[in-house]
Amino acid sequence: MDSPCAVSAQPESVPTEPTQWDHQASLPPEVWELIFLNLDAAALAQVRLTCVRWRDIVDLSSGLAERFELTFPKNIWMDGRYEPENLFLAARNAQLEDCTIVTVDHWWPALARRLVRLELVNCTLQFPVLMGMLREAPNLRQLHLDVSMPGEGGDLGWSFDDTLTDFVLPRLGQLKASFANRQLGRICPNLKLFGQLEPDNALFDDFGDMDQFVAETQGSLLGLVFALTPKLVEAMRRMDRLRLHRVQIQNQCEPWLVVQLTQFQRDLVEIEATEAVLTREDLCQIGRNVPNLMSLSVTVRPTEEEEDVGTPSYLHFMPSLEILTVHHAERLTRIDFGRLANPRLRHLSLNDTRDCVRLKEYLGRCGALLRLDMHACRLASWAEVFGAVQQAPALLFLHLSCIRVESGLDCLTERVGRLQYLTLRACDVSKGMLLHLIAVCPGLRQVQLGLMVTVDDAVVLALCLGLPRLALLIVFRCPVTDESVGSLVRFGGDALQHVAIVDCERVTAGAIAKLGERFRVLYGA
Amino acid sequence: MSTIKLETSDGVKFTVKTQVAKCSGTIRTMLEDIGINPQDGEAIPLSNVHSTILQKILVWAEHHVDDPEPPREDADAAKRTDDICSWDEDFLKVDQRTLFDVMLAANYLDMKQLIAVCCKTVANMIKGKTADQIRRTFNIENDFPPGEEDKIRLRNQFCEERSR
Repeated sequence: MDSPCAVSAQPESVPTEPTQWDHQASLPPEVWELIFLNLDAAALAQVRLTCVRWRDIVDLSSGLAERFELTFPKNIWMDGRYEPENLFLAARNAQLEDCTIVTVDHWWPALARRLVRLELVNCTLQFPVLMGMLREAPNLRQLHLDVSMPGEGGDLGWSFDDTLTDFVLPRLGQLKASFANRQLGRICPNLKLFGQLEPDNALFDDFGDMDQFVAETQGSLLGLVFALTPKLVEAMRRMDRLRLHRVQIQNQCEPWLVVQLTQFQRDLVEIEATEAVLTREDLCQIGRNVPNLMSLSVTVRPTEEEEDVGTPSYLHFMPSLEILTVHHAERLTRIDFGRLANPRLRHLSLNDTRDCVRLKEYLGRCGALLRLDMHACRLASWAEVFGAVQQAPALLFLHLSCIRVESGLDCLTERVGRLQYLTLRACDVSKGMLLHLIAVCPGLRQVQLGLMVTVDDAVVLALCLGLPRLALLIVFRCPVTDESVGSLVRFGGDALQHVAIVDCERVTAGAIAKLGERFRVLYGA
Repeated sequence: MSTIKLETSDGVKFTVKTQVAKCSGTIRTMLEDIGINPQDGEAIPLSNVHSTILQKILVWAEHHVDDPEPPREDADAAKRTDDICSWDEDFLKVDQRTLFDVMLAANYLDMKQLIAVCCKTVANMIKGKTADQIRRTFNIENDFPPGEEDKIRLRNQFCEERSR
């Protein structure tokens, strides 16, 4: 370490003691603000409680205000007597949970004016009160309304009255709500995305007037997360300004409703309908209807005549497809990729599949594929997957979970140097296969291994020695011991920064602590 | 090697390498934009900085004079504060008053890297403490009306993925 005398600066006269100098006990607000910018929300909440001056510094800082969310205490009865204490008026984001809101007139406007995002979670209030609150929040961009509104038309005598909606939220782009009707639609003239907050199938019928809501917002609406009903499809067919790009269908609707929707919503680029079970023929029609489809997530079943889903021939009609997630309604369906090719495909996720026939050839023709996920599949051998992985020229990510293989004989002849991210979870992988895999994938940067008895200390040692670029390692519920911790600390490469050993019974707390001295330990992985 | 003279609030004159003095944005501006000519032998007056503090700051500047420009930090998330280098850590092991004086001077002299590392040091003195412990650490008086406590929590919104 340098000593102060090494400095080139030389005072030319003896300094006087600084005691006479007018020392200010504290720093100016702008310096405190710079300090507070280093704190997380928990620390900042304590800072706000320290003194009036510090609270004001925090509250007046726009940089801090954007980063933190105001969370009201739960189970509050908000009536005329409720006065929130120490309210962080600068907040841009606020959440109220399990509250009953009778009125907030006297304190709400000062807070609402700046809010960009508001979440009401499981709150009870009347529609006029809700509209009164929203009227004060003209800057909202995101709104989450999980509310129940008792007393409509009853003794309390309120109704969904158009006179309550004589204002708009011009910036509101995203809305999730547990109800939808014409009045709500009217106040969102620029809404881009709407999501129905009622995943419970039975209650979708009760959702209010979704068709009228969509009719009001059709000019700007691009995405819907919703339940598809015959009534809604009929109404949407008549909306000549509706041009949806994205739909996420949450209910188990009839497959033909999805096909019908695509007949008049031809600009769709993203369809997710994993609850509605479609056949190959349905998907072929969808492919023909929406030529620009980029993302598809579906559950497929064979028709009565078919034994298997067989060839996913619908892919032939989806040349723009970039993301494909396929589930199979009847588990362990055989899939044969035949001569198909999706040259733009970036992400493929195969679930509940028995055999993946000609997957290798298919991936060879998917030149853009970056990521392959497989879940709950049963395969003849690992060669089916890894042989295919070797063929995919751009593949970086491989995530495998719950894979059973029938034959233990595996071979990987070539190196798969470009593979960087590997997850193996609850897979039938022998120890020899794991060691071999590490040897042929020297480029791995992130590895996650979980729920596998074959992942032991020898495997961890091989990871440390064989993967010079490894930066992140997560081991979850595997029979590794403190010896693995020793290997990581001793042999882990320079790149290795993040390590988590989670729920591994044979690793002691002392070893975990040792790990923390050397790495940034990840929790909750 | 070019040098310039600096004069502190208590009248002490320092002769400093120009390159070291230019760690201060304020001095850099004086030299480059306002065109104060160091050849004149005139000392630049630093009327807000005491000589003991300037001496300390010059030690820091001398050590860091060749540091590369820091990468731009992501303004969104709370910053890391566990990445203070050990030299700086030792350098800032001083009493609180000196630390604050260094910060005030660094702020006046516009030395961003020094301010940043001081801010992290002070932030670490706040982290993990209750409001009461913070008051004791910094000798702050609780001037809230009696009985007032924060019932509204702040939470870091980036802790959770909540878009879409």
